[in-house]
Amino acid sequence: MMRITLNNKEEKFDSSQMTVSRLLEEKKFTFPYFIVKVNGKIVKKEEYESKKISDGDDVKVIHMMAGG
Amino acid sequence: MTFEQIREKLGNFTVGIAGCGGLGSNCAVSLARVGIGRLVIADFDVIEESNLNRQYFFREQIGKKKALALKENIEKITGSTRVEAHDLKLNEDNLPELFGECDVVVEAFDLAEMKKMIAETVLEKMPEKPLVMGVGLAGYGNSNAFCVKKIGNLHICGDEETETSDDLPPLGPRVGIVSNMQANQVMEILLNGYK
Repeated sequence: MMRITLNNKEEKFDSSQMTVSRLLEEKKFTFPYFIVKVNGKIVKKEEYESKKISDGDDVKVIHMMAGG
Repeated sequence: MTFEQIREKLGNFTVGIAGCGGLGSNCAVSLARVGIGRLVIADFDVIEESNLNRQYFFREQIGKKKALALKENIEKITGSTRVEAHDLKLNEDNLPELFGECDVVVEAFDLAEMKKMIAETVLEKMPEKPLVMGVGLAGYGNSNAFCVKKIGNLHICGDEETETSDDLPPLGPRVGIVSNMQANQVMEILLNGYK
């Protein structure tokens, strides 16, 4: 089991580790464009499959919306 | 601080503005009015009549390059802000080059994929640089939805909810609010001890 902070809220997961891709899928982040930060560092799209999230991590998923 | 003190302090700083549309044109004008020393502005686009519902341009400027027209307009308002205008499309390679010397960068794009590009580029290649973004500004009304969220060096202004579409266009009042929230955030970053 692991506990992480996702967008300032605590979340619990059964597995002890998961990739960014899996997390995005599980939490149904549906906007076409967003940025991901793990423990303050940016994670780019090409790293979503490999970057592992584990217990205690601070994850931010920020949606980018068109308009300006 | 008196306005004279604010203006004197802001005169030492350079702000980069990525995009000269609704967010960029209004934010740049506000920053020039309060005395920012130097603005580095960039956009590849040309002014169209449909832009005039929210962007700081005039009818006789339709067809002109946005970056160059914005420089012209700022220079009509004040002579104390130096404006470096670039007529080009920003990408992950030219961004660090163009805005490397800026104290703060303002994201002022319309497309979500461009917002993502600049956020990732600044966070990856210039992680110490404050980036002030505008996210969520479509439609009208609901002024209470706007706020500023700070995540490390990322400052996000907007409602973080509304996305522009045919039925939810970007319009002067809400775009004006967010662009000025961005300008206000830049002032706070520069005047409250940063650097």
